[in-house]
Amino acid sequence: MRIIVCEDGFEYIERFRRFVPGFDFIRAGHFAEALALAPGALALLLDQDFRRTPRSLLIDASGSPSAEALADVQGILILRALRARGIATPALLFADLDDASRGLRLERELSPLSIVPSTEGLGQITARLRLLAA
Amino acid sequence: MILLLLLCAAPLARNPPSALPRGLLLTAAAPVAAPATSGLRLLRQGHPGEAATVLEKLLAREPRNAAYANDLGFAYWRLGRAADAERLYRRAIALDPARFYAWANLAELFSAAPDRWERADEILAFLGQGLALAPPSGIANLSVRIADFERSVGRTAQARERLLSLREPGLSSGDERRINELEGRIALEERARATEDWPEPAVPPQELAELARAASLPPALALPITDRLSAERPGWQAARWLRALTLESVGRIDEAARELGVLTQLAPSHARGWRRLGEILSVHGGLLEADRADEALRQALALEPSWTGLWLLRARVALRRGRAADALVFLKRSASGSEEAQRLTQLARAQAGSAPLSTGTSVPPSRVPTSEAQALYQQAQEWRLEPELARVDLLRALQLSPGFVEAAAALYPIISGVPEATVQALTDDGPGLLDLATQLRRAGASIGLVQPWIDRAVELGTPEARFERARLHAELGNREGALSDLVAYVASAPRPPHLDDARALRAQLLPAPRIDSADILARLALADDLPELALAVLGGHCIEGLGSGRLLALGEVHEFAGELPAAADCYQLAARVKLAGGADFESLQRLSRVAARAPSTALLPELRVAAARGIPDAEWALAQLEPPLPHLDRFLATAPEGDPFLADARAVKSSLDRRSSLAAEHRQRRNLALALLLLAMALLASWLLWAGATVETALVRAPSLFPTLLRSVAEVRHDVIKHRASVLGLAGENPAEVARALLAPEPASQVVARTYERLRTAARAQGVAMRRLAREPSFGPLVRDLARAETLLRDHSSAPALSPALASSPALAPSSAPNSRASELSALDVRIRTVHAQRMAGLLRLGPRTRLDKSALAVWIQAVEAEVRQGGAFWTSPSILLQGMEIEFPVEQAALSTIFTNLLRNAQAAAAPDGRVIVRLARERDAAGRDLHVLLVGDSAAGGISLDAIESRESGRGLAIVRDLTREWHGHLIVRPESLPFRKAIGACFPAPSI
Repeated sequence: MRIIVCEDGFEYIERFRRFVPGFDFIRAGHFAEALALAPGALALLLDQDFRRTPRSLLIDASGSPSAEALADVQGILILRALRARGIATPALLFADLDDASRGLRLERELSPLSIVPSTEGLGQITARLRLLAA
Repeated sequence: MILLLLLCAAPLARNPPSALPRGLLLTAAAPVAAPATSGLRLLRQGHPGEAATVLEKLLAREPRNAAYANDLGFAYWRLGRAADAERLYRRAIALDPARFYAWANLAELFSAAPDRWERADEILAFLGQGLALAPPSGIANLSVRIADFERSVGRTAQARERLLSLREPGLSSGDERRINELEGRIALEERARATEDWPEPAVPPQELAELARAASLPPALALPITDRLSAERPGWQAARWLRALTLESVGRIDEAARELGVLTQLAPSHARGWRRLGEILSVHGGLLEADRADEALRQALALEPSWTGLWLLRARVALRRGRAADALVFLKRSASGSEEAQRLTQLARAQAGSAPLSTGTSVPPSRVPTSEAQALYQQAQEWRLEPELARVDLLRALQLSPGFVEAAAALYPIISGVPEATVQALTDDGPGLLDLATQLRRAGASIGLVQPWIDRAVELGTPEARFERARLHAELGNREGALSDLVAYVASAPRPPHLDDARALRAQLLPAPRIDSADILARLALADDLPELALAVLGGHCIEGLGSGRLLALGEVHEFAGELPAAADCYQLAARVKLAGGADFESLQRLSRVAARAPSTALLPELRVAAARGIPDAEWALAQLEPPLPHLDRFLATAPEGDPFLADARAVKSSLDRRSSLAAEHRQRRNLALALLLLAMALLASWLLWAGATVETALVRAPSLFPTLLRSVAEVRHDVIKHRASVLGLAGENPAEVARALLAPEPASQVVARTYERLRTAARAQGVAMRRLAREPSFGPLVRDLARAETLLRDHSSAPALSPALASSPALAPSSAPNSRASELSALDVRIRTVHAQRMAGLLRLGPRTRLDKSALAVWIQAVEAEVRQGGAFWTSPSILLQGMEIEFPVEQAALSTIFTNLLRNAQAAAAPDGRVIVRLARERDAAGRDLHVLLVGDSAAGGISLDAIESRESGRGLAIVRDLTREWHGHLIVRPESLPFRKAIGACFPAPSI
């Protein structure tokens, strides 16, 4: 059961590989990789902030590289681009959004999406994954 | 003489039989076998126990041997087995009634028997049998023993008579010596009995009440009452005592002294009377009264050795009498360091060569007949062998001088009567009647003849008549009448002429008190200033086993002699004996008085008991041995006004109060200083602990700190809370991996701590001191929880140790059992993800906000305009397009102003020389769904600029400043095309501040 972990570092992928057995976690460092790996994946796990990613690899909402590409919401932009390309893999976005309505709106626009705040521990995330795999 | 008598009596006064080897041993006078000799030898060598063993065997072998029985009885007597001794003596008597030795030994035993007073008649009758059976050679010896028994029960006259009857020619020298010794002792005891109080009259209750009322009245009002009561009941001591006090109070000192003299005569044990008399005489009396004063003081001290102040008076009197050496002794006994004592000591030392002065005597009055009557009387004396001639001359002399008592006395043997004229002449002359009666009694007149005259003399107030009538009453067997007259006589004046005779007569009238004569002798010795002798009489030293009475008497002697430690030892022993018996007041009181003068910790137990029983002097003694204040207060509250220690106690109290006051001030100052010091320390500690700003207050003081805070919080949330602490919930399943996640490559707590320190450094750079991590309310608790979690996980990890600072945190206490550890980790996990995460998010809402509306923009624009115009550059007033009334930016005002100013300058420059500028403030939503607040400044200049171009610009100028500031405040630089006439707009957008 392949799960794509899209982040600018390696924190998520290492954590999941270490603590969440039974899944094949594969890292995607930017949109292009995510786009390549997403098809057939059980789930897509996205970090929100990609400040460590080279600007040239950042995309805008259309999925194109752009000088105005925003690193701090890059995860949302990647998901949006993937959805625009027909990738409907269930996604979990790790983000602490101040505005609850914004979260609901995003989950609706980018469905199937669950926004996971940092108040959720790894155990709860694992439970979500097992639910997806069930 | 008294010294000699006392020295003789001293060994006799020592009662224990073991110290009196005076018994008569039968075997000493009879041929004895060797074992008997052995028993006798052992007895003489002072081994009564061994002697008794030998004699018991002998007596068992020869039970009818009177000698063995007597000697064994004596051995028992020496061993203190009085009952066994009596049994053996009686057995010896039964075996050989004619042997006087056993009778004599028995008499000696009876002389020390505690019940001898009750059994006196029976014993004397019994001993009389022995006397009847004794051989002539033993009569004198046995009689002396019987007389000694009579002495022991107070029948001294009877004893004297018995001894007198023994004085016949042919008396052996040994018997004569024994008679002399016993007579000496009897004389001494009779003198000792002179110290007994005279019997007091029965006083009706109403008179007692009257006296009590008088005591509460002012002296002038009390005096008539005491005068009357004393006159009505001359022997009533209490009335006389009060009268003496009132007389003194009203200034009638001489009369007071006289009254006290009478009182002490009536009651020689009246210590206060002696004391007051001594004080009055020593203070107010002259040289002629010095002897009386000294005697009174001596008597008082003999009765109450604790009145140490009297020694000073005695010293003063001694100096007055020219007895400097005595004065020095008295001063030493006073143990006083007062100024008066020092003055007297100097005086005594300086006084030398002064001889004691003699005192005068008084001569009684006499009646002088006419010279012719005197001549006739002398002629009649010459007619002693011619009674008829003498009768004529004497009658003629009495006709001439009817009151010529000598003539009447000389006539009485001739005519067996007294002329009526003589009686008539003397009828109002008490002394004359008394003289007549006395001389006629001497001439053989009957009591019946003289009694009316004596009664008349009494009526007339002749004191001596009382004594004579007492003698008559005694002669007639009227004991009550005799005693009544004797009391009145003794009460009539100080030291009346026949005082000693009156005392002797009283001894015949009253049964002897059942007291140990040694005590009386000791008191006599003290009254004669001979404490060493008193000690000898009483037996020397205080040792356990002595009776309390003897211990008290010994203590008094030591106290009198100024040997206070020895006195204290005696009183202590007495107190212990009495404490065991329950009645301990006197011994405790005496002990307290001595201890008050010579405090010793060895006396503490008894002193505490005494204090508990309300003895004031015990409190004073304790005040000198323990923390003084409570004892001192109790002493001052309870001590009677005359207590000798009151003055010292008051001085000490006053000194303590002063010191206490000073100490209180000192303590107050010290406490104040201490309080200030503590306050300073508390402030310092508080400053150390709580000094500095929290994140919240730091942001208020330095809003520009927010970008740094933003980065710090983001780092903590992302790196620590999200990626490391979030695994804590799995600690139960995979503790080692969880530990590694939290502890490696460095403990998460250290990451947070380091992040906070960076924030602190940044704040310091902006002039704000932030709190130490441990006391910061957002980061501190997070670090503590993380550290605790790390500690709990440390056992499962080989991760590096914590830094010393964190390792010393209380949160790093040893972990508990596995189950509780897992539950604690779970709790920590929840707390970090919820409480701490929210707290961190909350910090982000503390950022500065700047509201921009048209007026605010206008101010900024004017500033830029002024600057631009001042520089002579082109200026065009910008159009302002504001979406809504105002827009709020999550940026500090200065930063936003700088951004805007640079954007506007850039646009003005681009628009020159005739272009236009527009300012646009708008709200937007980006592709990530965020609400953005946008600030754009557009111009109409041809030619564009790209973001890349701006990005590549060097910092510090124009749009590079805009770029950097925007990024610092977490905004985005934007470049957009603008509708004509404008071409482009450059600006910054920021996420809308969360509500």
